[in-house]
Amino acid sequence: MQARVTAILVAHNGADRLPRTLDALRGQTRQPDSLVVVDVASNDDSAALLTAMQPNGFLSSSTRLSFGTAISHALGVVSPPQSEDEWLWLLAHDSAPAPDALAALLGAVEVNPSVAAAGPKQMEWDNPSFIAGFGESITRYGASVQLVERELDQGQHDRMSDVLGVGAAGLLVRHSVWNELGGFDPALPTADNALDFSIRVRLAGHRVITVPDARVSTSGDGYSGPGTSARGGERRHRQAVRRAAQLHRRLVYAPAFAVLFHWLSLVPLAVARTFFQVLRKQPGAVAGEFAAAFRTAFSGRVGEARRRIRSTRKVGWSAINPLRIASAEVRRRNALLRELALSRARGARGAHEELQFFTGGGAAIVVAAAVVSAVLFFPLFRAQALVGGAFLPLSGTPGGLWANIGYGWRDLGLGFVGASDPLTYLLSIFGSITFWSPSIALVVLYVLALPLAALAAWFCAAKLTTRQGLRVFAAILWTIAPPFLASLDAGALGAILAHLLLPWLILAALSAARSWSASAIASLLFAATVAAAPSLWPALLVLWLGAVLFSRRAVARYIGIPIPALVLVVPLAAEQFMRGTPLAFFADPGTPAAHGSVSLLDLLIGLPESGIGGWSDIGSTVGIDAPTVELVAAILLLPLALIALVALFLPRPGRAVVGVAIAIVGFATAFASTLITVASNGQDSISVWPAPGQSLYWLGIVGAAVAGLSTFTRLASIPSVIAALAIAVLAVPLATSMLFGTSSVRASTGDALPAFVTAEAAGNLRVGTLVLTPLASGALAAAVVHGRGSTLDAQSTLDSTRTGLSASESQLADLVGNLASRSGTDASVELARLGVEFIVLSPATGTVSADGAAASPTADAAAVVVRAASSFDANASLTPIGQTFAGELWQITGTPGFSALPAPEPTNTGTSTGLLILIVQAIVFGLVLLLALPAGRLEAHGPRAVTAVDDVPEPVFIDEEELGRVEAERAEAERAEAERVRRDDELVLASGQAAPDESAAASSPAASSTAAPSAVPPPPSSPSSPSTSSEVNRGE
Amino acid sequence: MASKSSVIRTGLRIVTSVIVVAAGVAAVTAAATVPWPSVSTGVPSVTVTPVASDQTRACPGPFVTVPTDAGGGSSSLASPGGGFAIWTGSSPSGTSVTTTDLAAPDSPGSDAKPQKLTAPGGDGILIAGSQSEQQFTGGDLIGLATSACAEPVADSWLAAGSTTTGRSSVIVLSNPTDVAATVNLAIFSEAGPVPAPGASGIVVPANTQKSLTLAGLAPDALSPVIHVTATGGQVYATLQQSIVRSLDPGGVDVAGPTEAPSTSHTIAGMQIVSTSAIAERAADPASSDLPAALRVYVPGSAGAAVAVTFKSETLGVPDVTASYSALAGVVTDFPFPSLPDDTYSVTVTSDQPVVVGSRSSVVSGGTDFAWYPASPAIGGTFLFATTVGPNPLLMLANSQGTDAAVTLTPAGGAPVTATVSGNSASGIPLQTSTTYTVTTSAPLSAGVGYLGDGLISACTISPPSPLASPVTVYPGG
Repeated sequence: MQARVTAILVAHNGADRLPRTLDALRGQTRQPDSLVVVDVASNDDSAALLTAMQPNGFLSSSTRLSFGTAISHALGVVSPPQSEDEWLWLLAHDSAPAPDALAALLGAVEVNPSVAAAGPKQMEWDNPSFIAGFGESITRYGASVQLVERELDQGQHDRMSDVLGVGAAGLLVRHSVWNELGGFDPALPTADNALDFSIRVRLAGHRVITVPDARVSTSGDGYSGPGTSARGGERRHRQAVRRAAQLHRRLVYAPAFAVLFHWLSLVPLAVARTFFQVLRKQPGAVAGEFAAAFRTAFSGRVGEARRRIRSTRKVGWSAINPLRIASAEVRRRNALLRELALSRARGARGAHEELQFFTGGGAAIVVAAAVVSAVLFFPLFRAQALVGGAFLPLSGTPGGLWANIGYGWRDLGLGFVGASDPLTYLLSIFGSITFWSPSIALVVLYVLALPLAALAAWFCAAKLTTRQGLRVFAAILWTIAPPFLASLDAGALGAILAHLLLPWLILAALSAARSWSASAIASLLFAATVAAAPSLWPALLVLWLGAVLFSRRAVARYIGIPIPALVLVVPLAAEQFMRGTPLAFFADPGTPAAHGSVSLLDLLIGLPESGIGGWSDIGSTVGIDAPTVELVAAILLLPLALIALVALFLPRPGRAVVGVAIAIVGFATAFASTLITVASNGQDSISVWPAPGQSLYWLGIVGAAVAGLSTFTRLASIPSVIAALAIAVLAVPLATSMLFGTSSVRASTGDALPAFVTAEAAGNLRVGTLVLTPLASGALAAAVVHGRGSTLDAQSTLDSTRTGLSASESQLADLVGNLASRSGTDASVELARLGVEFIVLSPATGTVSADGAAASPTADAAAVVVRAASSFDANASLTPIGQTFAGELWQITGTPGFSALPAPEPTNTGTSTGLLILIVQAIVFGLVLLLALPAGRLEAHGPRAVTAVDDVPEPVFIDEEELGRVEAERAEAERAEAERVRRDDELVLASGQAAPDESAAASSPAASSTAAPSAVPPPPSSPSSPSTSSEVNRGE
Repeated sequence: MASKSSVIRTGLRIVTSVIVVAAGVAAVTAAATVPWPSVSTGVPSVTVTPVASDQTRACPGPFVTVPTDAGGGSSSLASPGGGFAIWTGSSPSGTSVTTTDLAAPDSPGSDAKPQKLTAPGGDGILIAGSQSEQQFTGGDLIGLATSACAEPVADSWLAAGSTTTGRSSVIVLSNPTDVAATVNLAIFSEAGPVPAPGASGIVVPANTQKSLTLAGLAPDALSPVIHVTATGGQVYATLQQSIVRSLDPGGVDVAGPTEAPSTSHTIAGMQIVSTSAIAERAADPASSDLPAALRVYVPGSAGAAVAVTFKSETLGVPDVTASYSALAGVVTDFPFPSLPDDTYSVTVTSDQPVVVGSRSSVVSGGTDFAWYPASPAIGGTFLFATTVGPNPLLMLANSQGTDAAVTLTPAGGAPVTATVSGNSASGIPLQTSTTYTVTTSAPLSAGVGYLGDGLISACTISPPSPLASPVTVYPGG
């Protein structure tokens, strides 16, 4: 009996694809017996095109129906099947069948009476020699698998016949079976619609086959199937739909007793898979996971689908088991896919990514910096902790460190409840590394600062230039950068950290265009940098905004970079804002340390304090007047500045322009820092330390200089050596300040208080000590410290930037004033009530002037020490203990009711606010860390990845011409080497044997490999194995 | 076409670079020229005015001396007994003054004890006291010794005494505080610093007086100067001296602390009497310490050129000046120039910091001597008390250029007004055993002198302790 075919063509806004589809239909060698078209809510001229086809039936829908539903509607105008030989041919507007497609399909089903559905080989629309899809299956656990996807058709799959499922486009299905099974599941609009149908066909006792000779071109518009668009939004939508389809099928196929269990697991699974998706660098899939879980849980279509299967199933589930794809096969496909992706990534990077850290001088410059550092910081050898500048010892245990993060009691002085500085988080991490003695971490950081700076700069420069000499040049200039050395000299911990982190931040940010991992690392580095130096917030936000504006397709990987930093800083910023001191947000964290003012010239040289980095003092000692010293200093900076300036006018100045722009932003930051005076320590107002801004400024200048020098074909070494030498001369006094003892930083035993107090603190953990420091004006600075002394992690900018005194602070001041005077009240009783048991009176020290020279103490300071000491001596409640390294020590004795203070309350988890802050921060940082961690085999690649970085072109930071030249040089060298080897061989083989030509032949391809790395993703390579490029959905 | 677009592209690049350079220049220029607003929050601090403390004065108590039957340097001291009188007063009237005895373990057996005067602290509350002793029962002691009741201090200088033959000197350390004081004595003489192992680490228990014979520490010192430093509690240091020339009693006196090293000192008043009789007797070596003299110690390493001006309290008498050259590191007693009998203020100026004290004697109707320490200038209102003694005289010296209007109000009496002209001295006769309130419009140095037949003595009036001044505290940092 002659088969009767009804073609059903469904179009949805397909005017640009329809003509080809319709032409293909007209060109069929076996014309369908009737044609029913459905126009689904098209608002282009699809309807007109369809009408022109003069179909046997025309339906128009005003609502957006799914492909399966539209076909079911279309069948309403088709007469019910009279025999088993009536077939339906399902086509979408983007399914253009080859002329013999229908004939081949019919030919296949006619010889196989048991076949109820036959799928054609789906070819790519624009590239008909590539297979878009050919057969589908599911794993043991029900995940759908495309058997063939995006493969060059070399006939390798032409023997495939029986499959579990096929694609929807071009599907030929027996009309009676379609009606019997009720068509496609309405809950599966695109993904798995035909797969699910095919499975039901199989369960109804029929066969499903693929027909290799029938070809249908599909464009993957996403109407008849999930689509193949590479656009990010489409990818994310597709992932959600696929996931929803899988969950729906899971609930439908599951045994009845397991349905409830599966239903309950939907949302918990979505949460778990969120972490998994983040770990495999697919953050875009997270929203889809939840959407799919909730859509499936509350769709209400599961019961209907289960009933449909129950009523039509004729064979057991075990019947389809042979057609499922095996786990081993799934793993094999994943491995092949990963290898393919990696080889493509390698191909895209090119030879210049071989960093040659060890052979190219990177390791040498780091080792040299380490040796120089060992000499310069020799006095810190065996130090247990650092004091001076912003440095103080850390808490004695990692637990003590972590107790100081978040929102809670700040045990500083009399204490208050507030948010911690973001720097505390960094300190907690550092201190936990050397958990046996946290303070040592800062000593190690300080001593290793120079090699770490060299390392960071070398790797950052390696992103900009292939020239090993210039990388070393950048590393040297970054290591001897004046703001860096001045910060080391002044003990500005935050500025030191910012200087060490900035090159890594730039490097990670440049790499973020292609890598979610790099983006996450950049966001962590951003958070660390602004935690160390809040003054960099505006500048880094400006640079971030620029990166977002110019990132184009990679915008998703840039837009989130400040989020971890914001999560870290919002509690503090909110508190500062509500207190009415928004600018105090920019105060440097750490111990507030007074520093000198700075002139514009020093600011431009990169020095955060006046005095030309110590040269002014040296000049005045040997009799050179200040203007001469300043002139010489300006001349020393000139070579570097000139190189950066000239770089702007060399060919291809783009990178130099960016560098100079960064330098301008950095300079503006540094200058603005000098205008903001928000912190105080004792009587000193402290302006924001300008060095972090200057580090940015220096980064821009050095970057521009490197960019400029890399365009020199020769003689680049002369200006770079001159510039580096000039800066080195400038840096000598700052670099050697530790050796000459003029540095603010010095080694400490880790104890801030006398041993007598420390011993007492062993038993009474929060024993209070009143530390009085005489000031030059004759005033007293009074601080209450608890336990073993003030620690760096307990410091808070909320305290150092307060503008008024709390009631308890006023009371303390009153007590101290009376205690240090011949007074009618005995303040020691009240002090004891505050938990103060000891009083330390620091000796009068001279103020440190701007140039770092210590002056002798003023008469007023000496007088107030005498006054306080004699008052304490005269106080019968105070027992003098004696002179200690920290000053004179008294103990309050004879006061009844002297009790140990309780542990500070509330802890950082003691309030709901504090707990919420910590939880939010933990979640955000946990996710970012997952995203940053290399996931290896778990990382998703290929067309099913939601965020496929492979398709984004690598931004080219390396000068292409330079790259070409380097490649040519390398090829030349290889050829010369090959030539030499050949000649050697000839010599060896000169005794009558034929000289082998292989080496010469092998060298010739290298000579032509001067092409720049391609920004276009290479086309899918032809696989040697049939399943090389097939896609597997994993993670069930 | 291609060349045209490349020209445009090159042009664009150059324009971009120029714009960037211009932006850089503009940024630096703006930083240099624009008066940017700067944000500066203040530094929180509190200036604390201490709660007024209890006023405390120590009266050194009766004269102690080395018993004649004991050798020099003995630690056993005794109070010879005599006409001991003490007078205390307070202002405003009605202020309760508590008088308690200080323990005096070094001179047991005496009826009279050194005393501690305390009054509750408060604005304007002043207390004062002074004591005198004469008509000694012991055979070798004659004359008058007066002393003010004064505040204990941590650091004081004594420029008085002698330990040559017949001269007995006792350092009396009175600790009226509730804290034991550890006292170190640095002794200097005409030979320079005197090594005295026993002079350091002297513990004076709380509310106790300790007496040490200077001869035990610095034997045979003609002109000692003693620097007393106390840690822990504070002490009121006085030096009691008695003289016996051969067998003739030469008088007694109690010298209070003088001023710390400075380049200018004022001795408020010196009573110069019997100059002609003293001049006759001064030829005797044993009487070489009869003529009035100025004791100068130069603590530094450079010698001092000292200029001394004697201003008579009598109007119209011209000032007498003298110049001395004092060696560094040693104590020198300089004889006074020839002066008519009168009361003089002595102003000492020096190019190096010096410590000074002076001495004068009376020989008519008995022999006695007196030490006059330098006294600080006091402004505003202060209180002092006179005690039993002949012809008490308030001696005022004005070292300033401006006139000082002085109102002297005896307790229960009518006020007396006087004017002390700039750079002059003035004396106002007083009644014995009376408390006086003095209000002055300009800072004055002040002392009280007693002068009678064979009796001479003086004591200075000290300002309140500077410890109670306000202090600025920066809490929290």
